[in-house]
Amino acid sequence: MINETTIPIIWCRKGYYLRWYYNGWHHWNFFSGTVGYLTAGEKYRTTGIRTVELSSGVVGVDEISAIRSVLNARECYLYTDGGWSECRVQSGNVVVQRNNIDAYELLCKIVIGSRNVSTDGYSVGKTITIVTTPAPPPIVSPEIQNDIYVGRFNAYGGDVRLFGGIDRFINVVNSDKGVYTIYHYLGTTKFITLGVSDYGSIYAASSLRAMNSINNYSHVANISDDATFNNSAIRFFINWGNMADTKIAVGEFDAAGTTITQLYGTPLTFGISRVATGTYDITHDIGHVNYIIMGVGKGNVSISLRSMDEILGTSVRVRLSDDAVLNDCDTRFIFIWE
Amino acid sequence: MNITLLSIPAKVIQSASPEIISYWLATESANNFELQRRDWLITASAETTGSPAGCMEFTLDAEFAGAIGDVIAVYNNYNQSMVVGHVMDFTNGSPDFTVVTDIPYSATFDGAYLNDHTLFNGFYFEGRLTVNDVLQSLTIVASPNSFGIANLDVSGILRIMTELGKNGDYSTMVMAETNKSGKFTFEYRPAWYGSDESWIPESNTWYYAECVRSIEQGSNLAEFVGTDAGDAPFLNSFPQPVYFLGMPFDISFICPALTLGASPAIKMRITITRYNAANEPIAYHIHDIHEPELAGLIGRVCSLNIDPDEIEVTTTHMTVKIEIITA
Repeated sequence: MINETTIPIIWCRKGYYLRWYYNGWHHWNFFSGTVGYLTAGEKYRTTGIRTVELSSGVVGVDEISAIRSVLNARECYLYTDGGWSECRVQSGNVVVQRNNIDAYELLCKIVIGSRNVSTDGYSVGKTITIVTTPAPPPIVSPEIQNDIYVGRFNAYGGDVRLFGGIDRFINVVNSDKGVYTIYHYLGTTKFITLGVSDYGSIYAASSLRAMNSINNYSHVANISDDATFNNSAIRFFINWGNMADTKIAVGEFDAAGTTITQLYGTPLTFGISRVATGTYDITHDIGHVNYIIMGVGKGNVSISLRSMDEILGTSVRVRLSDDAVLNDCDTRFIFIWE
Repeated sequence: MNITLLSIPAKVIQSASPEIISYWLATESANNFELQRRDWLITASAETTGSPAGCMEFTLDAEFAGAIGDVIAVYNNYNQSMVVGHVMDFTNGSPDFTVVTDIPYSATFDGAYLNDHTLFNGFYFEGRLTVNDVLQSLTIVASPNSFGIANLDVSGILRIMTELGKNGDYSTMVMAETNKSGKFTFEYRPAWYGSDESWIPESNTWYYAECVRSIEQGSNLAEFVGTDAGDAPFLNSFPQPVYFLGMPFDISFICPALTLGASPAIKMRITITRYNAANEPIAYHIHDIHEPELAGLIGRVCSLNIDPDEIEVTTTHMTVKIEIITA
């Protein structure tokens, strides 16, 4: 409906902030110049008028064409510490700074009046905020936080609530039935996402079965019950990071059962072998049986890790399927142990 | 009497099926509904056979309601001129309704329509608006020219429907600027001394926004109305409006007429993507407005507010896009 429009972001400069209506609302931070005061009356009623000379700053031809509309606006407001205050713009000049670089500057004067009846003899009008430049914060490189993130998205995507984990903004877009793009902005591809239905009734059997299109700021999650993709509200969990001093290890293996790789976490020695269709033995060195393994398929599939058995201190057998039929699949898994 | 609406200030955005028309008007420009009066249509023109001889006699499409001696004006198709004369005689017989005039006969005279200025003394067109479902007491009047054509300019009433001030207070993401925009419907009727004719509705719902337009641009705001034919820009003079971090900011756009309550339902999706200095996306914000809330925005100039608390310190610029999609 509305074209994608770029909006540059600038820190405020010391000056005055105006808004005006001329074929839509416009806002601009002006530099302030000379301030003049004119009062009339003394004993019973004093009115004060303040005039401020303003400069738009040196801008290009596109900006000056818009800024100069303040001279034609029927209404103009100045941002003050008491809210927006109506002011009057006197005629100004558009100064061409240098013809060879197409730079311009708008110089004008605004008039701010006082409506307050004086109680002490003199009044110069309402206090006006000079917009000062806040101290810019230090530039901090976004670091990968070692943490767990738990959230929820609705069946149509979008609304994501955070609880637990770091204060990182994540959003979810429902691009097709049962297909959700999760924008996580982790800055790494080493993470795992798991999820279950957060909605009873007909889609209670749906869960997050697979992940694909994995990159540094997003991945696609498939939601299904058996082999059927479904839209469903999902409560999900993302884990990433170093996790070296925790009892978590995340890795992935291929469908052929020939390669297994640890992505992050407490280092373990892994081995993999394919026993039968959808059935794999994973060897490890956790050293006891108080652990759980969970996993999701990799790809545009609905296959996930459905069961674990033959649980030993050095190995575990896992099975993958989408419905009641076992299937081979590249898989990303997470071990969590005591 | 035949009253014809010759033109309206709408603009065709897409002529191919389905036709898309913009009914958005700028209040500060003339917005004319052009009307024409043709009291009787002439079906035949001939030379008089009786008295007065050598004059024009016209056959009309309906019974002549005037009187002998009435001042009339007849449009001559041959040379696109209006000829003034008097009614000398008339016959409302069956099957013909004829009027004998004192207009000199011409073999090339091709009468198109006849207006009786005595019968409809002081003729003028009158228009009225129903703005935001409130019938306005003020009406618009215009007297036709010699061809019976007049323009009813509704901008005078639209201009007083807008107010100073700003409704949007930066508190929610999208707010309707109800004092800068709205909708109206238009009715018109012929009028003369002592008349009280019924109002004729012009069938469309129109929308207005407080805007100033040049003559070259025209009064229609079609280029700011997003439709299925294409997206539109924000209602803003800046090609790239600047966001001064920490200060209140919003940007205006026109929310066109949308059909609600249909299946599937629709929603407005606002997508804001924030970028760092390396032009890499660092955050992505989607805000959906569903039908119940969307109803208050339709047909209004709206303000899109961007919450400064959501802007990361490393953000140097952002892109904003608004779509209407299936819910």
